[in-house]
Amino acid sequence: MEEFDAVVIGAGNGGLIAALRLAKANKKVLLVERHILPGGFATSFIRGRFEFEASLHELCDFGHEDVRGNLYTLFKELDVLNKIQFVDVPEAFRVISLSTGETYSMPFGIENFVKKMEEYVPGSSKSVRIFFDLGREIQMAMAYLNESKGHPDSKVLMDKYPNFMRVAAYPVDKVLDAIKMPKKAQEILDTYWTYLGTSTDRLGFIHYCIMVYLYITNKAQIPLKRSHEISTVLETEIRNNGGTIYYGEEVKEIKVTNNHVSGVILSSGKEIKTNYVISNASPHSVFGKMIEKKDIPEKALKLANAREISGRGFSMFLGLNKTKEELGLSDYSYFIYETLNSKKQFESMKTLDNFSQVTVCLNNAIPDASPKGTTILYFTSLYFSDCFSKALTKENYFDLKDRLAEGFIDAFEKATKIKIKPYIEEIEVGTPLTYAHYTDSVDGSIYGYLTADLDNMMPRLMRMYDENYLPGLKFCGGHAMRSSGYNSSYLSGDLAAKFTLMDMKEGK
Amino acid sequence: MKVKVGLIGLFDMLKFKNLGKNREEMILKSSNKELPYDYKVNELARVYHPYKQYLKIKDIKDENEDTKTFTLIPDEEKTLELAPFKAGSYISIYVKTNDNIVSRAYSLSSSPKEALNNIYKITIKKKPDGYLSNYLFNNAKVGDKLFATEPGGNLTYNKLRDSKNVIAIAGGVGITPFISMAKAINEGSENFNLTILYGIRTTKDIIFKNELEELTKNNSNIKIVYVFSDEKVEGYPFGFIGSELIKNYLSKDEPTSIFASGPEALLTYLDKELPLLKLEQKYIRIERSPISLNLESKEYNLTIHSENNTYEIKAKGNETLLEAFERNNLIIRAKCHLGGCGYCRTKLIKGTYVAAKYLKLKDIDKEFNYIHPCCSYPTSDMELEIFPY
Repeated sequence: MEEFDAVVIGAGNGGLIAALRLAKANKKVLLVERHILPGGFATSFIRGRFEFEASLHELCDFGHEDVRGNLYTLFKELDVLNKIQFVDVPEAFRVISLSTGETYSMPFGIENFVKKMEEYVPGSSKSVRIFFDLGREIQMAMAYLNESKGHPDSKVLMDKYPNFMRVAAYPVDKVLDAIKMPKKAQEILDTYWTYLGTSTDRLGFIHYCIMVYLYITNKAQIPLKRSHEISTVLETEIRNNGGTIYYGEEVKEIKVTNNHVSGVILSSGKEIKTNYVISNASPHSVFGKMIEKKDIPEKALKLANAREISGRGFSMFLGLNKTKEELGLSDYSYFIYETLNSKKQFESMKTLDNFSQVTVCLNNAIPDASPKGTTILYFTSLYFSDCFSKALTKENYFDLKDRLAEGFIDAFEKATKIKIKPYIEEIEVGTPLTYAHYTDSVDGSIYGYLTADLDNMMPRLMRMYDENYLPGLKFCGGHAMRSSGYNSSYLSGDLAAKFTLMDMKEGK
Repeated sequence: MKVKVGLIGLFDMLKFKNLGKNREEMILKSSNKELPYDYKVNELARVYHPYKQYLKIKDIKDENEDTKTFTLIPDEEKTLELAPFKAGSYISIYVKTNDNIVSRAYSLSSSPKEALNNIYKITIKKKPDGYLSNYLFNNAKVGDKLFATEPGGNLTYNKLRDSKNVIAIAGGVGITPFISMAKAINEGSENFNLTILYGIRTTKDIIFKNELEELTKNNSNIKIVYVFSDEKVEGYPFGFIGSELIKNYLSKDEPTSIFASGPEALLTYLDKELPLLKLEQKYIRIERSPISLNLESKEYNLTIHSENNTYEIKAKGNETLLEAFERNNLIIRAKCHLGGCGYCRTKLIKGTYVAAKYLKLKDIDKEFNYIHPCCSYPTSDMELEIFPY
């Protein structure tokens, strides 16, 4: 029987980093991926003369020139930084309300952002400045928490990060009200909420604040050759560091002996002996079908049952046969919402009549991302219910896809007043079924568990040392302690690997 | 700066400290019921995109002296239902021949509705040097088992992208995706106007004649024009299908989409002719056929890593790496066999190769030495890592 120090389930962003970290620590690691490619959602695909980005909008917490973010540090530590080419995203965002027609375009840089907001909402600048001050304090407090490895000194926290302490338990809306931010400014500032997938009445303030802070101060980056570039570099480095990757194989079962992971069985029937598993697949998948019922700790079931499956993914990829200038696509990202009120917006995304979207014109960051005279435009949306599942049958999938695609295009044209329909040279549509197909994510979800209430990032992080109910098993990726998103998934893979290395050392 | 949310800042801090405790209470209060094993979307994802479809031959029909239609149904022991598909799609079949398993991609000539009733049809023309077509013609019989990939392909109609008026140019057995489209229009699963320019040598080479005539009679959205190259037939155009002939069928008031499928000779001719129509590129969709490069049959040594096994095999300079793998019973996932779908993505560790011109590699895969063995030929000894299917 083959034997490995650790097996990583799934070569998504979390799994790739976890496998690389273990390999770099000279551990014999096997990464098992059911698809033929690394990356999970972080990949690309070719249609006609276009190579489309499959999911990435922008990386936060990477950094630029002098300001280096956590992701920069991680990639540097793992020695992959100089192997990937990064490009800046030109501006923060444009947000458009379909119901009112109002539109706001926001720049990077705190000063620029505050100034622009003041233009849109006179009297907002003081509160917006406080927001960014809080962002800086939260960033420092998080760094301190990180260093203290789960044992922060309360006195240090109270003395140095009192504001962090006072806002940390609250959702976004409560804190923005407390700092007296005008409602309209709140709506504009809330724009990024869909990146975390929870409306601002339930989304933890510190999580949202630090994300916006990092975007606005550090700008955002994307790899030059799609997220497939990052995935391929990580894949290559895993191999170069002695790691093994099996593609086209699934972990069917995790064996447990004496309440500790003892091995895995693959779809080919092959048995692997290992004492440590890091799963990029969700706890729902692992405890739903990979472990014998008798071996599942009751608390693991309770935790999973306490959580809510987050957004199911919809995406659409258009190769247009006109330049962005000819089309009038001047922005990189278009946040098109039915309403700027995130709570109402969240509710409206529970049905298939939802055509709200975050749409990216890739050529505005990478002019030659597609052949001369063409443009790549890709759309992303979420369903915060099982509405897609309910509508889907064995017979109607292709029609359903067409109907949804048309709805999203119509909404884009209405919001931007830009005609794109006549210029579609290639079109591909991804639905929850597509995501389920490629990654087997639960119900086609792409955001892990809803990052809300007591399952916000902060309470997840505070309990991450205690919620390892099955010894030898750790989770990474969108379902894990940092919640979903590229940056969070990469960082969670690193954490899961470090925890596993500690367990190995301590013989746990 | 001092920010507090509640009336008393100290309570805010306490609230923060209690987050972990409250989360723990939430967990304790939660249900310990079993988690679902599966979800409807995941279940249907496996129906639409099965990893493998196990099939058996239900019927073999002679279409003419060198073309046969194979009716395939699920091998119930391992596959319960067939994947639905959009008209114009292909499947890649894996057939156990006398010596080894061989894969090829064939368009589905049956209708999407038939797939819902668990029937696929593929129509195969015997080529003089075609290893699998000859095997199937000489040996395949009803009841034989094989397996296939999910359906796929880019020669399908999309109402948001394509013109409502489609001219389909078929050369010989390249008619197969279009008979499927015609059936789909007739049964209501597709809705567009289809004019098929069907290029064949002589009247006796026509396949699906009765079906095509039935379809055009029943449905005014479907038209068929036979274009004979080796026989003059009254009332039908003669010669090759070029821009002059196509012009007669173009829509007057709006652009027309051109779909094409057939042998390389026809497609190479169309590559020169279609630009004369001055259509935007988006209106032209061509499904290529595998092309063989005229290379030397020199023998090379391949070292193949597959999971924890290593194999030493021989490959000829005039056969694709995929063919060399299969000849040695190393089976990998290959769908399009044209270098475009990416499913056979393989890591090149050492060695050199040449690829057929329709190869499509992602930018970064080029830099990191990934190759598509389905259309790549060795030009030196090579070392590769593959993944078993």
